[in-house]
Amino acid sequence: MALKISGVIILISVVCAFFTGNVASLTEAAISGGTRAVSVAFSLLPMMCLWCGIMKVAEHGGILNTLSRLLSPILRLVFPKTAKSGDGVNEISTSLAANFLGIGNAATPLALAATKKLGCEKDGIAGDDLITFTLIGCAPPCLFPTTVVALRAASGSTDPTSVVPAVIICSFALCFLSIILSRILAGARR
Amino acid sequence: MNFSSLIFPVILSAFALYVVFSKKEVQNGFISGAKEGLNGAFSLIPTLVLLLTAVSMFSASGASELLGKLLSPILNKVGVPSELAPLLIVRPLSGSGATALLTDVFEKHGPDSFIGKCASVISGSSDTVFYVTALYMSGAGATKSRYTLPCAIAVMLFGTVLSCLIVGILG
Repeated sequence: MALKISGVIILISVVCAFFTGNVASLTEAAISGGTRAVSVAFSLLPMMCLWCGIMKVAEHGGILNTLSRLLSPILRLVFPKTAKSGDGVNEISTSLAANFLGIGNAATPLALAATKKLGCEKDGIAGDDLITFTLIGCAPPCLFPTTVVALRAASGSTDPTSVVPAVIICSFALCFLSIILSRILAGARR
Repeated sequence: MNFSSLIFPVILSAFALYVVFSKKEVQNGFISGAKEGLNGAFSLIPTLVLLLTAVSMFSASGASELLGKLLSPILNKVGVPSELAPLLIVRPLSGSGATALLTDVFEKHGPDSFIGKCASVISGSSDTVFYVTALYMSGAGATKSRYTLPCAIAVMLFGTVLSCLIVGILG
């Protein structure tokens, strides 16, 4: 996907530069663009290392299990069908817990494990609980947006974590909205 | 002294307390986690080189400004800075593309500006909608996702407006 998007962006840029007469600066930008990627990746390194290291220690200390235990009573309300069968609640809560802590790398395989448990209805039709879970995954509730904070720090922000409260409020509001929407639509089906 | 600048010190203190008083072996855990972070940042480079080349060209050619102008009538009405137009389009499609554009916004407008903060909250509170939907549906073996995608896009659009609103209120 990243490749296709780059292709489209480059094509639009070249055409646009032709019309605006910015061809010289376009060439310069094309040559220097890659250097920025390397400096961004390097400036991300310290924060990513530190955060992932801390989170791994926390994981070994059982933070994911504790969080997921705290979450599961709420999740039983949100995923009624899954809760009834009892299978999959654990996977859902662990993957959400990983999202909470901003460890995206860990969250993806956990989420896939959860979708396997949720499965689908006959003829490949997505069930209500799977849809709810997908909607939450599209706007996951987050307590600490690791990459954003790291990028802000790398870009010389005076207070990289200043946006964390706003991210928490916004992401939880969106999660709530996703749940309400999918519950309403699930009800409308019957 | 505000609450948000305490977040990281508090997390680090909790970590430090655990490391000092835990009877478990924590050294290896930290190293292996940090290595994952290292690999994560490094493995970004190849895609990011291509993406940032494209994004740099996009800005230099004037296309970025043009897109902003094109979308500004809608964006201004809902309180979203039109400078974020490229980020808004790429965000649901590609995670690394969004990272590239977020960097671009920070470089042009500064991470602590209103625009920079809006971009931060939008990036922090939404994920790659199309990718996540495809991944989760195929993970479950579902081919008919029913109302998933329209709902996810509606939530994302609402989230964009909400992000800028909250940044405006919290400052």
